[in-house]
Amino acid sequence: MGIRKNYRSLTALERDRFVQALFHVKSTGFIDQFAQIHAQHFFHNIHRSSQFLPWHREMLLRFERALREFHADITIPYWDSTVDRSPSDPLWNNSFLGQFNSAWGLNRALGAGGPLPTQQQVEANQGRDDYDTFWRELENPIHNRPHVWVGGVMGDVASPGDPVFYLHHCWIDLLWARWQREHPDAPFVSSGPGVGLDDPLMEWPDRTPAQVLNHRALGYEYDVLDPPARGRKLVWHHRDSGETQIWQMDGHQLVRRATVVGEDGVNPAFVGLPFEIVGVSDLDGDGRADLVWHHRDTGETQSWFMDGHQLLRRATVLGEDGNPAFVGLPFEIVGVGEG
Amino acid sequence: MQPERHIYKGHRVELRRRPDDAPAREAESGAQPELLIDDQPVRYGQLPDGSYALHDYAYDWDEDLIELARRFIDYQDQAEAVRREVDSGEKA
Repeated sequence: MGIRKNYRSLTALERDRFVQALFHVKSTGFIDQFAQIHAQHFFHNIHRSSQFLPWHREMLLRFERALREFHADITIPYWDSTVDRSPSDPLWNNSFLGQFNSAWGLNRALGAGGPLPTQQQVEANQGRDDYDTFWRELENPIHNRPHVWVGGVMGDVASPGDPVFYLHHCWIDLLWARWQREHPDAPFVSSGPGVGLDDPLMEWPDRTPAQVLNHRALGYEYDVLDPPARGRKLVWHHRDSGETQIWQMDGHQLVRRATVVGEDGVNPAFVGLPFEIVGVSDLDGDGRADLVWHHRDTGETQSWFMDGHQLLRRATVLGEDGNPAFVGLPFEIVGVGEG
Repeated sequence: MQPERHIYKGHRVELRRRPDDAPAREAESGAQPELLIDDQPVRYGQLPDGSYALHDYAYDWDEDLIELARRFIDYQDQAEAVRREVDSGEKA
């Protein structure tokens, strides 16, 4: 499950990887193709219709898949334009999206077409009870204003030619997902003929709004809507096979179980005696439970930094001098804590 | 239709019947009139709710095409000012 997060939360590695992936999809012609598709359908139900939100959700999903051909861990970050409201924000740094202005001839004029939407507008929009009222207001002014504020390519019918398009629409998609969570019983309301729940989307006639209503079913989540679960895991270790299992719990109810896989994300990471799990805790403060192993014979302690059931990286605990801190019996780890 | 001409901040804004030999690309709105600013054709279209948007200024919508053209002129002036300011800052 990919987690889409605010661009400000990207690590340096994630940010650089995203930028490289953008250059990649530009070099393959994918970005220009998407810009052309958007321009072609601009006036034909992808805007000012009930399919505005589903169509762009499908578009972002396809774009994200193209980015993942460059690197499997990429998700589209989002730009919350009620918070990042200045041309001096890091969004526009030359190490991030700023560099594309001259590189791709985007002709931006940041701030010329203000104002940006406000948090008050967003919160008022989130309070709308029916889909028809919600999407109309979300589209205009909340969605429209950042397009005009950025200007240049972002302000014309081929706006997907500017990479900030995808960060902006990721935020719009997040606002739709948030509204859906708060209004689970609100039905999809068609704005006219041909744009209903089961009508085909422009360009992708095998896809319908009904197929994209549940963003989690499409394989992604949002950091602010779906925070990683804390303190709701059981960790099992099989002494004979070396398998480690993570049980995701809801109270005393097992929700799902998964075998821990190694850094390749595919193969189980089997570890047997004399290694033992001696603690489970969020060691790197990323909100995800990590594992602590101890080798009874050598005295080595290993930290496994995890993302759910996937091992991201492992590291031997070092002493103050930078060398491995080997500690054996009669010392035993009796607790792992935070803070 | 009779041509409609306006002067806005020194710019000529005109709505007129499309020439009979207009390329299909420009006549995509069927019988829609042609919009010109300073004698240059400005591409536009109509959204499902009937409001207009310009191809180069696509996220400001209005049911009045002349009013939309005025806002486009305002936007272009502001955008040029911003770009000049950025250019001068980069050269400084």
